[in-house]
Amino acid sequence: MKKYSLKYILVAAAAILAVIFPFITGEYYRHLAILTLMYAVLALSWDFAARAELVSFAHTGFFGLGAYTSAVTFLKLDFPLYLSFTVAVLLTIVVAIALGYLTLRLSGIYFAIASLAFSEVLLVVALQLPKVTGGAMGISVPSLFGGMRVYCYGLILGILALAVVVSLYLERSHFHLAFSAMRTSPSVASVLGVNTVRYRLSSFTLSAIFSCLAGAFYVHYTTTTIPYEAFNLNIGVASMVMAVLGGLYSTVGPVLGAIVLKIIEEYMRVTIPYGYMIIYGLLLVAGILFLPKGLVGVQNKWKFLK
Amino acid sequence: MEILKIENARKNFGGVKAVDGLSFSVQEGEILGIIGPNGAGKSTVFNLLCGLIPVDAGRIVFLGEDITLLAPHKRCHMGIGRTFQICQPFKELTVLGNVAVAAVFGHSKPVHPGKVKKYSEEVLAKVNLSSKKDLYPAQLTTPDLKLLEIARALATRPRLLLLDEMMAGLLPGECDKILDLIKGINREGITVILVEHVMRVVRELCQRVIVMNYGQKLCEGCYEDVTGDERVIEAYLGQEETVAQ
Ligand SMILES: Nc1ncnc2c1ncn2[C@@H]1O[C@H](COP(=O)(O)OP(=O)(O)OP(=O)(O)O)[C@@H](O)[C@H]1O
Ligand SMILES: [Mg+2]
Repeated sequence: MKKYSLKYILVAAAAILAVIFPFITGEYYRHLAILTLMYAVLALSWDFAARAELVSFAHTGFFGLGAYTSAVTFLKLDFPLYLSFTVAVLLTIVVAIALGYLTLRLSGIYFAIASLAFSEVLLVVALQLPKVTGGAMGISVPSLFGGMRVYCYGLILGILALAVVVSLYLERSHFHLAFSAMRTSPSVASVLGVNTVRYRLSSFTLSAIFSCLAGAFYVHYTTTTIPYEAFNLNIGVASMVMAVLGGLYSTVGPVLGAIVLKIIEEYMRVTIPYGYMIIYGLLLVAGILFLPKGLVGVQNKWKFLK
Repeated sequence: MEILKIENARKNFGGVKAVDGLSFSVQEGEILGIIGPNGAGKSTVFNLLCGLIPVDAGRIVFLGEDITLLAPHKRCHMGIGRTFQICQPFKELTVLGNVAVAAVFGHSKPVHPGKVKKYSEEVLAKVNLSSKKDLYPAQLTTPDLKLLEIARALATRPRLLLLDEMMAGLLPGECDKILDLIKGINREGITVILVEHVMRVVRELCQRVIVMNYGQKLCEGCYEDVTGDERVIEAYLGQEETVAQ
């Protein structure tokens, strides 16, 4: 009982801090917080796929797809912001299900390679369609909410809140059992009645949707992007590292991972003038070595049955 | 009533004819035994029946419906349950969680996990694993892992239960417990197909026995008939006297 009340107090405090943060800080911290929340969305979305044992590099592709679809529909078709986001999500759902079906037979490293190839193909498409995407020169949109960072913060916090709600549902419903079973053996799970195809596709599609939303937010927030940035593999790799170091298969883990790593990265960037990435990398290696289960260390007990 | 029929089933793995034109049928309520030497294709038959491996040719009919092309989870929903020769528990879940997977997904529509807690506990009580419900599979002994296999299969509410070598690796006393458990399951109206090397168990449980060799049916009949058959003694029992006793 005591343990639970402490947990709720911590969650409530974090939620309150998240809401008031932009009002008590300046532009620099607001900007940093916005990027951190965006990475929290990406890390959580990466974890959604990981829960069904999918090691995906397709998140880069969905991030770029979200960015470009919403930017292009906003600019060329004059869609309002919410509609451009909606179109991006719908397109992402179609693409994710199609890619999910095509890669159904692949697992482990083979799935990872296929998802990597997907992201690379989208990069090439973005480069080769200059009439639509602006090609290598990139694309520019007017700044989001007239550049009012408080509103931008509110939007990305809302997207993260949505991702957290989805994640909590996955953790507390039959999805959790299906994913845990499938991680040990998809065949045994299917013999016991689990429609493994459905759960694999759901996890992949949900995961794609939130990467897409992060990408759509990103392009409007930064007002400009080029294919090499929107389809940069670092996005997918960073999401993966944050999820793993925070703690896989949980809601707190990836969010915490994103916050901690983003703060460390920024601190090092500011204080270590040369080669901060090397030290950052060493830190990541140490993290993986000493915290194999991440910051939270998953307690994969089934909460309802305790 | 005939609950299951498999007609002229074939399965090749590369050059190996694991199942080679096999046909048999199962009556509702019976316990059918399948015996045969190692590599005869017994486990492969189970894989064909539960849908984990598609047949190369032939037909499978369950409850009057052609299920040859049906996915494994749909066959489970129709009422085919099975255990694995090598225990395959979900290692991230507790004993209760393992059974809950089957309880939640054993129907065509998954139910909320909170709703199956009581039912899962009842199933565990049936196989005598209640005291271990919060343990993880890594903490269980071999006999308990076998019981968990049975509990999971039972939790899907099967009408036909496929048991693959439940007794392998067990002491005689442990065999007896599982033997009684299988009798009880069958008395509740669940049809059973049993793959088994321990002949005492086959003799006690099975009304009918099919002997397989090289993927084919060598012969079929009651226990005394097949164990007296010369071809069976030559192909199987002759080499396995220690087990056969
Ligand atoms: N997935 C597979 N891939 C390739 N070959 C297989 C596969 N499954 C079974 N085999 C082969 O098919 C043949 C039949 O195997 P099966 O496991 O059905 O035998 P079994 O009768 O169950 O034997 P045992 O008594 O040892 O369990 C064997 O030669 C085996 O090596
Ligand atoms: Mg076998």
